[in-house]
Amino acid sequence: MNLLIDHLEDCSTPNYFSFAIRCEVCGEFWYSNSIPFSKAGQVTDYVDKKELYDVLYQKEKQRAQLAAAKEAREHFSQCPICRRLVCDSCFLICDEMDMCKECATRMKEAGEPVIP
Amino acid sequence: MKARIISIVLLLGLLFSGCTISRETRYLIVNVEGLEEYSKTLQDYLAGYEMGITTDTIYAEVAKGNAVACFDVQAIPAINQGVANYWYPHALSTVVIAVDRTQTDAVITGWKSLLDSKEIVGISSNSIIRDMLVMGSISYGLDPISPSKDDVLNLLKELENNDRFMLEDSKSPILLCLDHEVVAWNKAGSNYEIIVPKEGTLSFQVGLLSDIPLTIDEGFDDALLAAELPLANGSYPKQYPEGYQSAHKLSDEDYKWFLNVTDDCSRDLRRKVFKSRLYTTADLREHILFAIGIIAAILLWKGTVYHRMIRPNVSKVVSILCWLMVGWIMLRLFKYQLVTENELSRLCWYGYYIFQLALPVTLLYLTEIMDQAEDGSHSLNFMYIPFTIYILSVLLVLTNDWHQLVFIFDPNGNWAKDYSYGIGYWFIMIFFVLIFILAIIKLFCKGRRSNYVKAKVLLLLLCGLLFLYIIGYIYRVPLAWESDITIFICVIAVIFFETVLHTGLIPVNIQYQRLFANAPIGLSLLDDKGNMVLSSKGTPPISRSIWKRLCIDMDKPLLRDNDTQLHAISIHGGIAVWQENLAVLNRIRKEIKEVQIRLETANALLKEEEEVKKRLLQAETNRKLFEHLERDMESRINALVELVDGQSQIKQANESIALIILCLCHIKRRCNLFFLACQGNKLLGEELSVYLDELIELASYDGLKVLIRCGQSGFIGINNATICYDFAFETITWALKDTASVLMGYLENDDGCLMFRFLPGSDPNKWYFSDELIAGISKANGNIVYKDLDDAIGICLVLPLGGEIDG
Ligand SMILES: [Zn+2]
Ligand SMILES: [Zn+2]
Repeated sequence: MNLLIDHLEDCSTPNYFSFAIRCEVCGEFWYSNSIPFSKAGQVTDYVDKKELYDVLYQKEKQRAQLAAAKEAREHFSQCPICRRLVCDSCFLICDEMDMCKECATRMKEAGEPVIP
Repeated sequence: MKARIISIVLLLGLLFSGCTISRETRYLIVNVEGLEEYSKTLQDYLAGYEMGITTDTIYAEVAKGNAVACFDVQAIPAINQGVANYWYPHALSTVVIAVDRTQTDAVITGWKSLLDSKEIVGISSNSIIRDMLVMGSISYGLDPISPSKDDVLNLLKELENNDRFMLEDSKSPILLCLDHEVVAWNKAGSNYEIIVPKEGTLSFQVGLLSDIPLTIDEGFDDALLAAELPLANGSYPKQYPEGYQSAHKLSDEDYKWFLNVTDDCSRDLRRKVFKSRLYTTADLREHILFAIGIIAAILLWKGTVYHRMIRPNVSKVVSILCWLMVGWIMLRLFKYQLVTENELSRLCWYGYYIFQLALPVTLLYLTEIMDQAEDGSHSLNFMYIPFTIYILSVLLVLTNDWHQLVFIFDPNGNWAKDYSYGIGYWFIMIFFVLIFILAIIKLFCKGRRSNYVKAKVLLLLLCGLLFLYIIGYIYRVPLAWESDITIFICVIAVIFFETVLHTGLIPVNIQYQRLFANAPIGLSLLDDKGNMVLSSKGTPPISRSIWKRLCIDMDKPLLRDNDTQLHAISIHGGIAVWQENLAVLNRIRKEIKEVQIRLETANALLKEEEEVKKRLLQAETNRKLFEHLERDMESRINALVELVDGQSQIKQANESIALIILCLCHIKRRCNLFFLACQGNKLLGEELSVYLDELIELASYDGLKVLIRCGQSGFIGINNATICYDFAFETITWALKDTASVLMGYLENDDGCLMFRFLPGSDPNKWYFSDELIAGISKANGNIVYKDLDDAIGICLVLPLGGEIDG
């Protein structure tokens, strides 16, 4: 989980929270479900309120990050050999030990990807 | 028009045979033309049955448990097929030739003799079964051993070729009909002669067909005779001519050839004898198959159009058009299934106009939305006018039974054929022709840039053909009237639209897929569920997570991977995504960064090198400077050392100390001047004067009075200043050594030369100036001049300025 959180790239905007993870084998990004900021689009002139919104934003962002990491767990696996984070298309289910595509090629193992 | 054929009807009968329904009231169904009198007589003798008519087939009625009056050719095959269980033959009908003696006195003896007379021959009945009876009888008459259909058709064709054959006509002088009908007509006042063809004819049994046993009350035979109907056993009432007897009755084997001969008789009569309906379907089976074929073709075409259309709203309208045509054909098909013509079939007929009139309105709507933005609803307001006209027109047609403004007919007569058009019909026609013409004009205006001239001509020809056809239909030109207006209009409409699509009058993109496949920007179209609809060659599919993120925020492009950026826009029913290749950009960026790093490193190296060099240079300069200084000062310091060493030999201490101090001062100042020379600076005349004053002061310690006036103001070159300073120093030194008491000097700028004069108190001719000074003077092109004045000798240093003095 911590590994996932470390790999999450922040793609959030002031209006929604979104995180991405890059597969270290194919290089393709996966994007988490965007979660809108509860106060998105609400402009305030009061400094106090603005600060409150900022705190709220950070809080919600943290929550969204956790949710994204949880979601990412469904799509990413850590290769037990090279310890890299790989997407389901690049992660093969092999006979003895599941591993990433590149490790499988290197070790001449055959397997089926989690998502073909 | 009524089209029924026995095999289809049998089939329908089979379908219904399984579902006999028991109920209280049973009906005696009288649906067969010519059996009205028989049925009327029968109803008093068949207890528990009520008279009824039906729109169903007789076999369906039998299946419901009703009794049906019919001919043996209808009953026996049904019994053989198991459709019905009981057949009760009672009366006998013989096909004869009736000659109206009030119209003609032609001699008719048999079937062939019909060809010899010049009178018109008609079949008086309206139903197919009666046509079948006549055809069967003629074929039997012409060849009793092996009756054939061709013989009959050839005979009738020959009659028709001379315009002497009519169907459904009871006014002709010669009629082919049933014997008991003629007897009835004569009883009513006509004067028909019954002719039993000499070649032979057929007698058909008339009876009741039922699924359940029937009980006929006694005395029915007598009642039949009283009603002037012959009995099945061959007894004839007295009204028949003397010696009249029944003809050949069909045996079980005969039904086979009879059905063969009369099969498809409706189609054969129309197509082979009348040569009409050559271009359309002539009987029900063909009607159904043909209609299904056309419906399939329309739906297939609709499918292809759907794929070619770019704009969903346009393709929606085209599919509405298709469904209108299909609806029209289906309704028409339904109407043909109705056995009798009643209110329902009339309503179907009116219902045609729901579809028919909607076609031009839809076409107009289509031309209207064609050049509009997809979501634009503006300027469609005027479409309410044609829509309103359409609704009103349909209502007017549907309510025709009450006002007869559209079609004028006698509801109890043969309205399906004998109708004329009312004022409402003409109004409707004019409106819709106008709408159609308007649509065509709009279509052509909007597609005037299209280059398919041939196709446009074809379009105009199609329109012309359609108009000609409709006019022909209204005026009952046989070619149009006998054909099927629904099928014709639908086929023309499909050809019309296909041509329109090919001319580009309605924009379609046939090259759509190819354009997409070859789009270089990696274009993909996704539907609203994220499924790929179309995509360029080599474009990887868009993953679900990326699609979701794109839907949330289209404005913000996102990275598929480090080298690919995805952009999206919302389109109707989905999104379009294209990718931007950042690989080149990234490479350039990387290269720039590398170059920058290299440059920075090189810069740092250069800077360090420069500093080292600078330090080296400084050290070298310093070394050179000190070397120079050392060399410069060496002689003076040596002199000073000598002076200090020789102090003991010098008699006067004061003098030597003054000399030493003077030397030290001279060395100090010379160092000053040396550094000034190194810096390339110049010396102010005033400063030189201060230096000289210093020497004067030191000299004064030894009692030498020196007076030097410095008339030079402004800058003097360092070299000249040094020479002057050295000159003054050496002069003072000599004056001290000579123990002179006074020395006067004057420095001035005279005529481009620097003149430094001294008037010593002693003889300067004994003085030796140092080699260094002499070398310096000659190097500066100057010289030392002695002047013999009256009581003294003056010494003068002349230095040419040569640009050495600045302001
Ligand atoms: Zn991957
Ligand atoms: Zn691996």
